[in-house]
Amino acid sequence: MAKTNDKLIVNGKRLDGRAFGDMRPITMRINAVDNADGSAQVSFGNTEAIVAVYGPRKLFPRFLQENDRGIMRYRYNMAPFSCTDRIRPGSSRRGTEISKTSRLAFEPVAFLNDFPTTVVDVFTEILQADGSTRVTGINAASMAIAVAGVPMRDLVAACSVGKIQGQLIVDLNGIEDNNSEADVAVAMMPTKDRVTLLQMDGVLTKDELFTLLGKARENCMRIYDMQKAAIKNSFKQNQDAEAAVEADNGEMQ
Amino acid sequence: MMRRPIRRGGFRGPGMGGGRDGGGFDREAPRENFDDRAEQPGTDGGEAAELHEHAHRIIVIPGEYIDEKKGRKLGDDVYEEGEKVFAKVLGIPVANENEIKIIPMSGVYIPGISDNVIGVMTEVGISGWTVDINSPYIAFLPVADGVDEFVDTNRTDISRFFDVSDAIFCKISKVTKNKTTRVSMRTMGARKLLGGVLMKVKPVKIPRIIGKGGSMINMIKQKTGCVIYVGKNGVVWLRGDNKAEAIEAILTIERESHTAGLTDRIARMLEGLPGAVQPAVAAAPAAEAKPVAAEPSEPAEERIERPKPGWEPERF
Repeated sequence: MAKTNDKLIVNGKRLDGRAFGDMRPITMRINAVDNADGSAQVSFGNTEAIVAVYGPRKLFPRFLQENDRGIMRYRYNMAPFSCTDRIRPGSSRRGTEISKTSRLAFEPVAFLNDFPTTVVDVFTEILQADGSTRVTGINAASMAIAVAGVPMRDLVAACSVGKIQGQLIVDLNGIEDNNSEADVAVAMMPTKDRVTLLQMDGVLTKDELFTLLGKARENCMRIYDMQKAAIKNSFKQNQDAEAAVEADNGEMQ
Repeated sequence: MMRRPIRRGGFRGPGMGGGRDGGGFDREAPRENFDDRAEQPGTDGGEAAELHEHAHRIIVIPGEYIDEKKGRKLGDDVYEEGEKVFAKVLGIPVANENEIKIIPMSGVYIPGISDNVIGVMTEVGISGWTVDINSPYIAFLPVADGVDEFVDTNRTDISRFFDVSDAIFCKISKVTKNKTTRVSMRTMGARKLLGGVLMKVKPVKIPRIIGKGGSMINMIKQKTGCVIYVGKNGVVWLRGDNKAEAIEAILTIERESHTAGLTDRIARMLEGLPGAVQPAVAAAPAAEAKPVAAEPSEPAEERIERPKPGWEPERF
């Protein structure tokens, strides 16, 4: 998406009508990929990520195996059709970097020591990109890893914050991302209040950065509540089914 | 009817689950006996009863606070920070007076000592076999633990005992810190699985398939007349005329493991199949069975395949 000279803030609102501290509408669901051990699909507005997790499973080639711990492989990939411009399929400098930083966001969280010589494979596909793709991917990956049954210290919740035309904002969309003075991606362990990913692009004063981190923390907590609800509700449906079955049994008796 | 080996202490035979948390979660469990059953080490009812008690309550996600430790033992899939205990995985928390643990909702099979598993030979080596146990870790079966008698490995091609793709019912005998695993057939019930079909289910659903005290799997065996072996690693082996129905029943249990009254529904599903074992015989508890009398009626092919005594070693 190209740069624009248009105003990004009109009448105190952002282009999509949000206030500075608002996030886009968020949807989350688990078990989006049947073949995977765990999977999730998350969308932040138009940004949409689908994640499949496999493992812990045997790791080949063998020289990658670690005798005292398992490893995690994280692949971040944007679908060729995810943007208005076609994305060239295959690895890219940007994709490799985001894969690595996202993996580092999960390594302190997962108990990989419990599974020596194995690998947990996380595949993140961005189906539709409209800014904040890496944090959307991390949010989905966190749920998918939990659903796969990989032991974790906590879920990981992530969100992006930034600065456009002098205003500090939350959850940047595509056009804001491309025209921002600064953008910061933050991932954290919400119940431990620890940051696992912090990346910044652009220029901010120290005060602005700390203000943004505060906003990011607040929003990560909200995202964590949504993740929690999405996972638990999918099992709650089962419990409703259970209640229905019990009712059936009662009638029969 | 399948053979029920009896042995003093220890291993309780195939299909009965075993070890740490074999057992199912039948919802018709009488509640008043809860605590008694849960406290009996190694009984099938323990985890079942606990799950039954807790299923209606809560599901925890990784990192969620469960309880203060209060001097209790930490069981599976929990971790502590200070005095607080948190969940490591998605599952149902169980906190009783002795222990805090999680019954996980998903996950791969990680070998544990004394687990009864079904393995498939993937490689015949010089001094043993490599066994696929449906886990990130492969297991090794040494000749000494796989065959009853002395075998001179220098002179013998051990594929005469087990060849690649043979299936066995065996027991995990040793797991090291970095999960190098060894299995053994020197245990009651261990055998080569001839014919039949293998199927895989999620390892976490195995306790439900076995049922409390083996109730579910015994019912399926009785109604279908199939021989069924259930490995804790999520592999199930079946043989018999009604195996299609038995497979359907097991897949139904896996799919609907969270629902109540499953044993009854499965029983209705399998009603009236030809070849069902007479309930009077099948319902006889294992402890009262007379294995010595029962065994001669068993088809010859169901016996554990052992090399005939007096065979000649191959000489090269």
